Amino acid sequence: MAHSRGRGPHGFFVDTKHKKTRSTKQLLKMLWGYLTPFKGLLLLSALLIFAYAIGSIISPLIISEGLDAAVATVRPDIDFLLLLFVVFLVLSLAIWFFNALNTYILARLQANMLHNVRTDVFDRLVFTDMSFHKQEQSGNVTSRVTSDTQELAVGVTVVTNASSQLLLTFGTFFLLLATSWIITGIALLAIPVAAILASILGTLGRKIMYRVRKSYGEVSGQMAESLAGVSIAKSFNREEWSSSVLYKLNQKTYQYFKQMGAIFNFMFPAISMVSMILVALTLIVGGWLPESTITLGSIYLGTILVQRFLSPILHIAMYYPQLQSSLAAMDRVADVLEQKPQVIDSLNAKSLTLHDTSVTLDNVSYEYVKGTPVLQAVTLKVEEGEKIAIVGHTGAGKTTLAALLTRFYDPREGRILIGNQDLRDIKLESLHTSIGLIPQEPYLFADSVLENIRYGNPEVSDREIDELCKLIGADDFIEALPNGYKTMLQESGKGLSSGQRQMITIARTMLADPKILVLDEATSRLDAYSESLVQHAQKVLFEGRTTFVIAHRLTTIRDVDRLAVFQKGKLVELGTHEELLVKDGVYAELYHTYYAHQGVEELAEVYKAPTPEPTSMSEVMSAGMAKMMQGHDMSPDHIHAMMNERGVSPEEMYKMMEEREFNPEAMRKMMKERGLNPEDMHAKMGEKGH
Amino acid sequence: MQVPQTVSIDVQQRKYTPVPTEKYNSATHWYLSFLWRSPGLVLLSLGISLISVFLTLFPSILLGQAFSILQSEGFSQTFLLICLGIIVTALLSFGITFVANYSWTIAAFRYERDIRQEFFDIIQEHSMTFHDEIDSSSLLSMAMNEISQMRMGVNPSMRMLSSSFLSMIFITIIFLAFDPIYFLIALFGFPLYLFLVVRYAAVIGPIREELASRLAVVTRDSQEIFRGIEVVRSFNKEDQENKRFALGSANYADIVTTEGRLSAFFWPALVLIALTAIIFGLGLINLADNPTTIDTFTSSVSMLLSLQFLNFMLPMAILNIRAGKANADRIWSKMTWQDPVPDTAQEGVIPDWGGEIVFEDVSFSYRSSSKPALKNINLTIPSGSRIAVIGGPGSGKSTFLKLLLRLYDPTDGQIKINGTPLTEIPAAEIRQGVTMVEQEVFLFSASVRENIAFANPNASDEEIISAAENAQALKFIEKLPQGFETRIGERGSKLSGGQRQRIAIARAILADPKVLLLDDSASAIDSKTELLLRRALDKLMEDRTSIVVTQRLRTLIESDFIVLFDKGEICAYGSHDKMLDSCPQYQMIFEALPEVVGGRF
Repeated sequence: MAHSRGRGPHGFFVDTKHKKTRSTKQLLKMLWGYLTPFKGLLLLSALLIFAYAIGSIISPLIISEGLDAAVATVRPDIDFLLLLFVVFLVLSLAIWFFNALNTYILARLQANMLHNVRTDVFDRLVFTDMSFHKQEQSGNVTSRVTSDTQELAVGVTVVTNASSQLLLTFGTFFLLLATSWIITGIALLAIPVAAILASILGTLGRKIMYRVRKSYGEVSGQMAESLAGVSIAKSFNREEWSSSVLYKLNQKTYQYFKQMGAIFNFMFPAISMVSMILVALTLIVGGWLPESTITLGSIYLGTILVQRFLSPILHIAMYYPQLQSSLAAMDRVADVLEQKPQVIDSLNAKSLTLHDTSVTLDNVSYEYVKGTPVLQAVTLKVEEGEKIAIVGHTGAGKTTLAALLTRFYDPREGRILIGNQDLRDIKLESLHTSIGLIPQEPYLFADSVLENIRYGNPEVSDREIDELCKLIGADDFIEALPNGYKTMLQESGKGLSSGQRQMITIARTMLADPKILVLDEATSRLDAYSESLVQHAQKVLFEGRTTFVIAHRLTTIRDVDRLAVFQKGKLVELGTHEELLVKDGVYAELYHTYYAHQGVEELAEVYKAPTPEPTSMSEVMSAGMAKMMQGHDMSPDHIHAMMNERGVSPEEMYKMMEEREFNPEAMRKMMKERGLNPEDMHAKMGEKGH
Repeated sequence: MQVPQTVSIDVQQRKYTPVPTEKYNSATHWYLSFLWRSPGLVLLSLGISLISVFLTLFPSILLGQAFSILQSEGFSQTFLLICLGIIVTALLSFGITFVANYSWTIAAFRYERDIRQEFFDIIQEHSMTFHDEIDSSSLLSMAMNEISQMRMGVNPSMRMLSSSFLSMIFITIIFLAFDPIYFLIALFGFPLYLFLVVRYAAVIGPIREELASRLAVVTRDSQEIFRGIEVVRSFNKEDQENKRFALGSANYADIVTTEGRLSAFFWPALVLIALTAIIFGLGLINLADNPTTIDTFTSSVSMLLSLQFLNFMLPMAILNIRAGKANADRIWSKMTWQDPVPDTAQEGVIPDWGGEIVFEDVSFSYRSSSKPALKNINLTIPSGSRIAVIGGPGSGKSTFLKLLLRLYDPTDGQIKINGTPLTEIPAAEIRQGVTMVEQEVFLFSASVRENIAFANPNASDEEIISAAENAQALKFIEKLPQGFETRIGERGSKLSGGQRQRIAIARAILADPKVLLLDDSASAIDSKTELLLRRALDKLMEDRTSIVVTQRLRTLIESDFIVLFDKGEICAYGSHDKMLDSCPQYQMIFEALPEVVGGRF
C-alpha cells in the first residue's frame, strides 16, 4: 500500500502482556459501537479496498496480455496495443486514487472516532467516583485517555490494512491458479518462509527489543536524575562522575541497538532475496513447461505475481499481535467506560439550604476493601461555625473522613447530615459549592497566579483578588514573584515554597466562599516565617465557617475549638486540648510524640520558653518578650546545669531515646520517675524565672 | 545470540572531555557529522551500496535475457544458467546489502550514543542560570526523543535516500543501453519526481509538527486535570474541564484529518505511474516492431515496478531528515547557550580559606526576573565563624548561599576571599572548599557508599564509616540489607526523609569543607529523627566556617552573629541578644519560632 503510515515489523514488539478481562467478542462489539456512526465511510472504504485490490490484480494481467499480443501474432494490432497502454495508465491512476481516497477516509474516520472515544473516556473519568482515581496513579489515568485510545484507533487501521492485504493475496492466488497451478505451487513456498521469518521476529526479535527498551529506559532515568541533581554534581565537582555513569548505560544501550539493527538489516534483504529466488524458480518451471500450455506473457505474469506473496503474508502475521494489543487497550478503555458512579444525584436531590451549617456524622462506617473497615461507627456533631481538628496516627481514617464529608464516597453505613439534610439527598453541585476542600498536596495549575486563584470563582475582578490576598497576607510574596500576579506557575509548583503554594490554595478557597470547610493540612513542616503566614491566613479563612481540619501542625490544634481523636477508624476521644491532655489517653500520647516536639528542639530548650501558659500572639508583645528573655540566664550552660540538677543530662536523654527505639510512653515514665514531668516543668520554670 | 553483560569500555579510564561546541560550527554541521564520525563504516557502507544497488537491479536484466533466450531458443542450457544466475545474484545481493546496511546502522547507533553524551556533557557544564531557566523535563525529552529523531534522520532515512538515488541513476544508465528514448524519459522523469517529493515534504513537514504540538496539548490537559481531580471536583469545574479537553481533542482530530488527506494523496507518485505506463506503451510498440526487444521490455517494466516502493519510502525518508534537522537546531541552540556571565577565572588560582570572606556591595538578579534577589550586600565573615541566616521565603537567603558556592556570580559588586574576588577563582576550586547541604536533600540512585563518598570517591572504608558515624547514620546503614552497598533507589526513595538527610550530612562531613553552607530551615517530622539530626549537624559544623539558614533557637543563640534578610537586603545583623533587643523584625520572627510557640502552648 503506497504511503500509508504502516507500523512495519514493530507490530511484533507491541507489549501483549496485558491480561484481558473481557472476551474478544465483547470487545469487538464495543469497538463496533464506536464505528457505527461511520458506517457510511466504512462501507465506502470497503468498496475502495475492493476496487483497489481488483485493480492491483488486473494490472499485471494487462502487462502479460500486452506482451503476448505484441510477440505472438505475426502482425500485431497496434490499435489494440495502444488501447492496452491507455487501459494500463488509467488503471494505474485509478489504483492510486482508490488507495489515496481510502487512506484519507480511514484517517478521517480514525481521527473522529478517536475524538469520540477520548472525550467519552475523559468525560467518564472526570465524573467517575474518586475511589477510581485513588486506586490509579494519575499517569495511568492519563494513559487511558491518550495512549490506550490511540492504540484502539491503530487497531482499526490494522483491520482495514489486513483485509486489504488478504483480499490482494487471495486475488493474486486465484489469478496465479488460473495461469498455472505449478507456478502457484512455487508461490506457496513463500508461506513456510514467511512463517520462519515471523518466528525469528517473534522470538529473538522480541527478546532483543525488550532489552533495548529496558536499557533505553535506564539511560532516560539516569539522564533525568543527573539533570535534576545537576547542582549537587556541580557543588561536589563530580560532573565527570555523572558523565561516566551515563556513558556506561549509553554504551550498553548501543550494544543492544546493534543487535536490534542486525535483525532488521537481515529481515528486509532476506525478503527480497527469497522473492528473487521464487522468480527464478518460476522462470525455470515456466520455461520447462511446453510452449502450448503456457505463453511468455503468462510466465512473465507469474514472475510478477510470485513476488506479491511473501510480504503480505508477513504483514498479516505481524498484524495479529498488534490486534491483540488493540483489544487489550479496548479492554482497559472499557474498564473506564463501564464505571458506574455510585455517588450521583438521587432522584429527589435538592439544593443545599444553608440555614444550618452544622454537620452531623451519624454512626458512619466506611471500608475500601470488604472486611477492613477504615471508619467504624463514627458519631459526631459539629456546630455551626465550630472549628474541629481531626487528629490521629497515619491510617486512623482522617483522610477518608474528609472524603466522606465532600461526598467523594458515600458511607457504607450511617449517614452524614448538614443541618438536617442527608448528604445523599443534596445535589452534588450545590454540595460542592457549599463545601470547600483543601487537599493535602496544594495543587496548582500551569497557569498564572491570578488565574489559579480565580479558579475559585471566575466572576471576581483582579482588584478583588488583590484585596483578598492583602487580607490573608499573600500579597507580599506574590508581588515579589518575577511577574507578580501574572507569574506563570508550573504544575509541579517549582519556584514556590510549599507555604506559598498553600497560601494560593487558601486564597482560591476564600474566593469560592464555602460555608463548610474541609482542610487536609500538608504534613511537611514549614519554616517559621511561612508558618506564621499560613497560620494567619487560615485564621481568616476559618472565620465564620464550620471547619474540619486534619491537623498536622501545632499552631492549628491550638486554634481550634475541639479535637476529635481517631484511632484505627474509631473516634476515641473528643474535647478541648486541655481536657484531652488531662485525660492522658491517646491524644496525650499523640501530642507528646508528634505535636509537642514541633516546638521542642531539644528538651533543654523546652524549658527555655518564657511563658508557661497558652498565650495568644497579641498578648505577648515582642518587646515584652525580649525583656523577659533578658531576665533569664539563657546560656546553654545554665540549662545543662539545670538539667543535671534534676539528674538527666542531654546526652543521657539522647541515649534513652535511641536505646528504647524511642518509646514515648517509656520515656515519659522515666522522666516522671526522675521528677521530670514535662507538664509541670513549665510551671516550675515559670516560678524560677519570676 | 550472546549478550555482553559488561561493557567493553572501562568507564573509569574514559577521559572526560566535554566536546567543545566550537568543534562544529553549526547545527547542520553537528547533524551531518554522522558522515565522518565513523569514516570507515560510512565509506564501507557507501562503497558497498553501489554494488548492492546494482545487484538489486541485476536480476531484472537477467530476467529480460531469460525471456529473450526462451523466446529464441526455448528451454536451453543457457536459459537455465541465466535462471541460476538470478538465484546467485539474489544470494550475493542479500549478503552485500546486509553488510552495507548494517555498517551504516552501527555507525548511526554509535552517532546516537555519542551525540547524546555530548549533549549531556555540555548541558551539564552550563551554569546554574541555564538550569534555572530551562525546565529539566524539556532537556530530558531533547536528550532522549529528539536525539533519537536525529538518528532516525540518519538511519534509515539518509540511507534510504541514497539508495533510492542510486537506483534511479543506475536505471537511467541501464536505459541508455536499452533505448535512447527510455533514457531521455528517465533523465527527465526521475529529477521531476524527486523535485516534487521534496516540495511535497516541505508542505507536509510543518503540518506534522503542528500535529505533534496539538497532541502534546491533549496529553498535557488530561495529565493536569487528573492530577488535580480533587480540586476540579470541589470547585464544580467538571464541565468546564470537559469542554476544554473536547476542544483540544477536536483540534487534534482536525489536524489529523488534514495530515491524512495530504499524506494519502501523494501526488508525486503520479510521475512514477506515468513513467511506467509510457515505458510500457513504448515497449509494446517496439515489441510489435521487433520481437527481440523482449529483453528490454521485460527488464525495464520489472525495474520500474520494483521502484514503486519509493512512493512509500522517499517521502518518509525526506520527512525524517527534515525532522532530524529541526531537532538538531533546537538542541544546538541549547548547547550553544551563551552564559550571561562567562567564567573567566585563570586555572590554578587557589582560594586562601584562612582569610575572611567579604561581600562588597553585592547585588544579584536572576535572569528570569526583573527584580533583584539581593541588593547592596556588605558583610564580612571571619574565618572559622558561625553565622546564622534568617529571613522569609524570597528574602534572598538561599541566593546568598548560592553566590558563596559560585553557582552564580554577582550582578554587581564583588565577593572576596582574603582579598581575591571569587570571579577570579575557578568554580571547581571554590567548590573544593565550600560544601552546601540543601534543604531538599538530593541523593543519587547509587549505593549508600557511593553517595557518601560522592565528594571524595577515593575515600577509605574507615573514612566512610567514620563520616556515617558522625552523621548518626551508621546504625541504620548497618541494618540495611547490604549495608553500605545497598542501592537506595531513585533519589534515595528507599530511605526515609531523616535517613536521607543524614546521608547528605555524612557526604558533607566526608567532603571536609572549609566553609559549610547549611540550609536547615525546616526538618524531619518525628522527634527521634530530630534529635539524631541535631547531633549530626553539630558534628558537621565543628571546626569550620559555617553559614546556616536556620530557625532553631539554639543555633541562633550559639552563632557568632545573625544576619537577617528581608526583600533581598540585610536588614539587621548582630548577636541574638543584640538583635532581640533592638530589631523589631527579629523580635517578630523570634515570636513565631516553633520553640517559642511550642513552649508557650
